[in-house]
Amino acid sequence: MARRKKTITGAELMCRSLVEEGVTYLFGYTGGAIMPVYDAFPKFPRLRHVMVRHEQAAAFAAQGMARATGRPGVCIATSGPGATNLMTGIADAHMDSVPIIALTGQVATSVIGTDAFQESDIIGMLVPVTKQSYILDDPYEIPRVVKEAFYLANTGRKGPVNIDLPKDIANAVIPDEGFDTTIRYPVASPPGIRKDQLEHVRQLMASAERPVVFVGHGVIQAEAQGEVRRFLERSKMPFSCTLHGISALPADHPQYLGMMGMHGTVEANRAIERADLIIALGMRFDDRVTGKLDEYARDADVIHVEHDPSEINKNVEATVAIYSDLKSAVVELTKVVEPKPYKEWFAFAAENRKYWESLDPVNQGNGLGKGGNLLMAGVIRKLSDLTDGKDNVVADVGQHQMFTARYYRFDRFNTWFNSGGLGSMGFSVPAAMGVKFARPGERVWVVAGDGSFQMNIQELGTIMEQNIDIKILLLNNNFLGMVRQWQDLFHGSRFVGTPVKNPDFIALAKAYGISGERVVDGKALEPALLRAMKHKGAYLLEVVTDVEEMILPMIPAGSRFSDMRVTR
Amino acid sequence: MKKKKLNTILAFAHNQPGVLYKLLSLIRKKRYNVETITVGHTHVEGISRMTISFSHGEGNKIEQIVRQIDKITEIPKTEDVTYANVINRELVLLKVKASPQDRVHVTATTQIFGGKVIYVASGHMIVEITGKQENITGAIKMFEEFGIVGVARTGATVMYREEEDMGLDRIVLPGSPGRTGTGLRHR
Repeated sequence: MARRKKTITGAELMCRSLVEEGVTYLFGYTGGAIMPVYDAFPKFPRLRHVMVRHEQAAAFAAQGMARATGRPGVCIATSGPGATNLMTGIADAHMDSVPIIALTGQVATSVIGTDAFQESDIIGMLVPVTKQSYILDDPYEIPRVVKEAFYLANTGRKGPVNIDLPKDIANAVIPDEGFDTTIRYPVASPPGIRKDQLEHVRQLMASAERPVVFVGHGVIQAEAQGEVRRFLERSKMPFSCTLHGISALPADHPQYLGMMGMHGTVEANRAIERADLIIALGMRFDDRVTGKLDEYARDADVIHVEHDPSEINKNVEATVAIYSDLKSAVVELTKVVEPKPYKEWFAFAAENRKYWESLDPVNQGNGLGKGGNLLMAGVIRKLSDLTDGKDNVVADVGQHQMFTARYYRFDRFNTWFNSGGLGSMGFSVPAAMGVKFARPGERVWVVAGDGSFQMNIQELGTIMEQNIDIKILLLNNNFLGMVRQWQDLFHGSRFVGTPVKNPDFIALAKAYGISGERVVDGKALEPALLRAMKHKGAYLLEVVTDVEEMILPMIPAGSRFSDMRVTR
Repeated sequence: MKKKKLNTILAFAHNQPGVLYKLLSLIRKKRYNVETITVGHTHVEGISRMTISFSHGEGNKIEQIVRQIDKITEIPKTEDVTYANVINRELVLLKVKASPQDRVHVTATTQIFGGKVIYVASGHMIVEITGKQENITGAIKMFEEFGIVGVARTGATVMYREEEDMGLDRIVLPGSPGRTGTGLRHR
């Protein structure tokens, strides 16, 4: 008698495939079309599902996991509204090249296209913001698609991939054998630096008197911090980080000029304005980095090292466009570079640093705002001092984000997380949950404003349920501060739609079983921060800050570097 | 009228549902100005040929377009072939007013362009002309004196005179022996 063949359901196959990709955490929210997959979870104890309170948070939490581990994070949602709620987080991952896998339920294949209950054409909606998207119409395809999805998300320029799983495919029962897991779309490796290019680069580096090295997100993603550091320390060139390049190298490095761009430091931006050579490593010359393009770094030759060819010559024309993996290219550059002291060049930077320090409001008088409230800059500086720059910091979007980028002295690799490209408010709390699951032994801070905190405030429920030990530093000025700043500078101080009437945040946290306190007085800040650090479990520290504080310097959008504003 | 310079891109795509949608979504997102697009099967099963022509000078950076299209997973090969050694052809069907006296003139004009008359009715004729995309516009102009009732252009399709790189090494077609495959699928 023939032995009965072993069978498996599509949902189980999906779970098993995820396990095979090394997935541990899934952030998600169940619902009708995705139920079969949830039903299979208990059979795969390795998969730990974290139920969020809104699908958008699931996508951000998956990003936190991905950014902290360098491997794809996974979020899961049902069809229709569940899937559409993921979209902001997916679009955000696409802009910042973060590998996440979004697994969405879909109505049964027999009713797709009929406007069935909770049906949405999620593939159609996600095409512009994903690297790849799949709809599974054959259960045999599940292992192959999952494998390929993880491969594509994490290979080359990283990004999000969506897998849409119709309910009948999840419920299908098939013999458990004979799966083809061939990857159909192998990603080509970049050719690397050419001999003639290397010679050209060598000449440019040898003749440069005012070089600046740009450290972008690519340095973190390629984990090329060691190679880049050796290059910098060999060449003695100063360097500046993009928003996402921050924490690639320690902020206290003597060659570091600080962040570049719209809210970059005076020393970095003035150096870029005057530079005769830019060596851009793993970055894409975003408009917040360049300001007015035709006036950008006009005296500089640009050596652009990128592994995504569509970013080369897109915004800034490269003198030498190196289509290569970062590590190998930087190693080659290190071999041919000759160290130079760049004495005048560093003196120029030091002069600009001093100039800014003499203007920085946080260094003036008692370091408080006009109304006597704390300045965000001061709060972040205190946080940086007390944690020695060694904690993980997840910022939201707004003034507080830029203050954190500027005043937190990141000392450890890849400890700075924020939404750069899309600038999605609501990023910080859920992303920090993902970071904390990835790094359970490390302290994780959220820095949020009163506006952005409330965009995913429902996740206090998840934090409570999962006992997620994150410290939330809420900088509350009862205003949407960044927009207020623009209104103040460019819209005649007409504050439309920016004042916020806020709830009692501490009471709200308490309702979720989360301890917290509110700091108004400057003297109370340090002990409160220390209490938050010592506290076991999540902690909400609300700090009332000055409403008129501006993040400066600022290069207004689309302006030249010489238009940089250093004072109000 | 100034003659419009067209840039032509040749791409090969894995014939999967949604590839064209992805391409068009990209084109719309980047606000590229497409003149024509043709898609059809090739001799390799599962691979389609796409020819896209863009009008020049609308802020389109042809290099950028090629690199962006090249990023679409299912498109293993994209190339700007505007100045490459290719044959570029477009087919046009022209519905031309033609009284019995005019028929001979319409026929003669068609022959000048190497075309064919493919339909005759009492008051009009339909002619078929193929040629280089840029020349088709000129041909159509010649028929204007008879009166044009309808124009159906296919858009250009191009083919390399010699060997073509279809990007087949950058793609694994279903059914072909896979690198990491665990065996052929069966049910």
